[in-house]
Amino acid sequence: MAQLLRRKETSLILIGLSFFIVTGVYFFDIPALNNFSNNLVLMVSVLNAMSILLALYSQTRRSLLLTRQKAHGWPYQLYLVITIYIMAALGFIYGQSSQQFMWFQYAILNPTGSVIYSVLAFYMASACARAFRARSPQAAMLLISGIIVLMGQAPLTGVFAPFLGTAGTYLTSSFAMAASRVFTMSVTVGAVVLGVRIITGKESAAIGFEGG
Amino acid sequence: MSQGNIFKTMATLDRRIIYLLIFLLVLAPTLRPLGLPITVTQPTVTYYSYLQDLDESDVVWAAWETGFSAWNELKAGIIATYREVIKSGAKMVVAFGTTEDIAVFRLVFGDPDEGVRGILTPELEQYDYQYGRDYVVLGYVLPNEASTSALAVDLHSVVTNDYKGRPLAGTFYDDLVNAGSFSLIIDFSPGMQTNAMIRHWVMDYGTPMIEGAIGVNIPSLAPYIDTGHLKAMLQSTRGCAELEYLAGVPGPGLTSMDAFTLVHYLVVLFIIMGNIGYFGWEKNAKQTTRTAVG
Amino acid sequence: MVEFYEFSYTLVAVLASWSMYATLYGKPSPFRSWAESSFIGFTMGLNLVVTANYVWRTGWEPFGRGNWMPAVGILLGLLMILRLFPKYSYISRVPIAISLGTNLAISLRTTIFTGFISQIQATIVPFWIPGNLYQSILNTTISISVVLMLSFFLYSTELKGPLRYTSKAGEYALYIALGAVFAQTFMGRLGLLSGYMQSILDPAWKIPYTFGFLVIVFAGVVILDKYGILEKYSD
Repeated sequence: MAQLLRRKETSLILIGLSFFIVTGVYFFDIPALNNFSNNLVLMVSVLNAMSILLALYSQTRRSLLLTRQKAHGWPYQLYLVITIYIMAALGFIYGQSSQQFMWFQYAILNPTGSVIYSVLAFYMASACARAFRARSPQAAMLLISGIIVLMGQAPLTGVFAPFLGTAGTYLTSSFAMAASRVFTMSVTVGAVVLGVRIITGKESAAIGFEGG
Repeated sequence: MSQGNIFKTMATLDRRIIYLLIFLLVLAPTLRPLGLPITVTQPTVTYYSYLQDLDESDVVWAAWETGFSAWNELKAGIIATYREVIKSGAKMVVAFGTTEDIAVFRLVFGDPDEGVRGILTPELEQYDYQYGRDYVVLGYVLPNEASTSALAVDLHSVVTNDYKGRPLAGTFYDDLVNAGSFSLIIDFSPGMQTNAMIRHWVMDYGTPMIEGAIGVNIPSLAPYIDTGHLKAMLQSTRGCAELEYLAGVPGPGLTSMDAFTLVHYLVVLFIIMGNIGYFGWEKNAKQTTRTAVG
Repeated sequence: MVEFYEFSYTLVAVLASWSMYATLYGKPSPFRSWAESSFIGFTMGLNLVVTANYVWRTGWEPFGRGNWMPAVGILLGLLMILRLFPKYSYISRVPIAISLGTNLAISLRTTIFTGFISQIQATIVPFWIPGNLYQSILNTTISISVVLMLSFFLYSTELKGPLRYTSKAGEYALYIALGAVFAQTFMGRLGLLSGYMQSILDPAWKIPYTFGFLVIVFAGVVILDKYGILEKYSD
């Protein structure tokens, strides 16, 4: 059995089977297959959700290791592990919609989660003043386009200079949209190619085999 | 001060001054709003028209995927949107896409079981919009694409109880089958399951979908407006403020707009100043590389 | 009258906010280290509880109704942990393979349409729309820009002849797009900053605490820095 599970072919067969069961319902109208396919998708959604256990185990092991080694900042690592399990205990004991469980979300997660991203507003403004330079025609185009869209986004601009608002909308709805479309199409092609390579066994690193 | 020094100052503006100015221009109008006028853009008008078309016969799939960070960016739009849904009398099924959304939802709708009042509790009372009869909360059921896809095919195979474990049988949820049972999808998101919903709910069942997008996600979701997968998009806090304006209920979005105007102009000024400094001094000086923080 | 519940979490939230903003000082500080560790720890605890609830509802409860398949997901999820133990890691390939195959089937079937075919269809649009000059300009710009930008990303062939010019034009179009995207991203981050500031300043009873903690945290950072112990007590 162990030998069988170690074989690359076993993994490839499982990938192929799962793939064809889920896609098969679009080619064959068989109620039993339909039902099995729906359940398989549901099963995988549970399986995917359980990958949090990997993260939990890795984080706990890493933090405890750093604590044992008395590495720089180890008290924070110990504190981190304690907070994980305090929060989990509160949730399991009082329930996920309890006041006790909510308290830490409003006290800690709301501020830290928001600030961690909003700090970027400061860095971006600083970059505008200190690093954005029209060193080349390309950079100049980026700056001009950025200035027009920034001006257009300022709510007051629409009142005294509506043409800037229109120009900003034009740039976002045309050039930015075109770039997003190119990226979307490229990513899709990349994802399809990667998917086909995985199914055909050409990307075996993705299924846990060393060396691709 | 010589001319060279002015250019040098412009090119090497101290980042602490930049941070301080940003803080001041955000804090001051938040504490004492100036009431600068704003204009309403077409995407918000389209978004609002979808909300206005809702009536009691409609059922809305309300995907909350913001977490706390996007909540703080989109709260004006979330509050204004769901106020309109409550007013319309449309039924609503609420699903969460991040683990924080139970807490975020409670800020808005409160928790009647525990006597917690939310921002929209007055509207819930005014329009007699009741849990179980008018809306149900499925909870965290959108953790990944597989679950989003499974829900689209068969709601009842995935969820039979609400987020507190109470059976949904006997509510309007009984009449819903799959993604095609909904008249409208409203999604507020930093993009967790948005693409999955576009693929499995919109593409397979043709259910119309409108989106409240954070600024970072506007470019990546914009192509789906053109293809018709997304019917309308509320664009970051600016779009949320416009929605408040259209709905005639000023709130946090419109309060933000003064800071928006001032900081946007400040940043444009920074770019212009920096480039004047660059052409006046930096281009010919030895120091030509600089970052935002160093 | 503010309830003690809201009052207590607001105080901690304001302290956590300024501790996080202490990162703008440019040096590690104990305040920031505390806030960051709290963020990671409490988030992970939250995710564990809410995800466990999802697994219970979606994986285990159907078992009671006679549907065993979702419960197999729990078993496979447990097997996935074996990935961390080299001796038994081969067993984890089973759940990984099933997950990969199913996820590929779910996404590939639809993403080809939404991410590729529909995008091409939306690009091939009439250049001229009678009576609507703005839409005509927009359609023309999008169609031409997409083609030009795509030619810029041709890495598998040498860019010579007409391709040299189209890829250059595509590069310029891309820079214009990046400027616009930068502005939109800034708008988002500014909206978040402004929205969060409102939540710690409104209602008015929060204002003294917000500014009080601002002074405490930044004075603390400056004093610790002056005595050279700022980084010593950080992570």
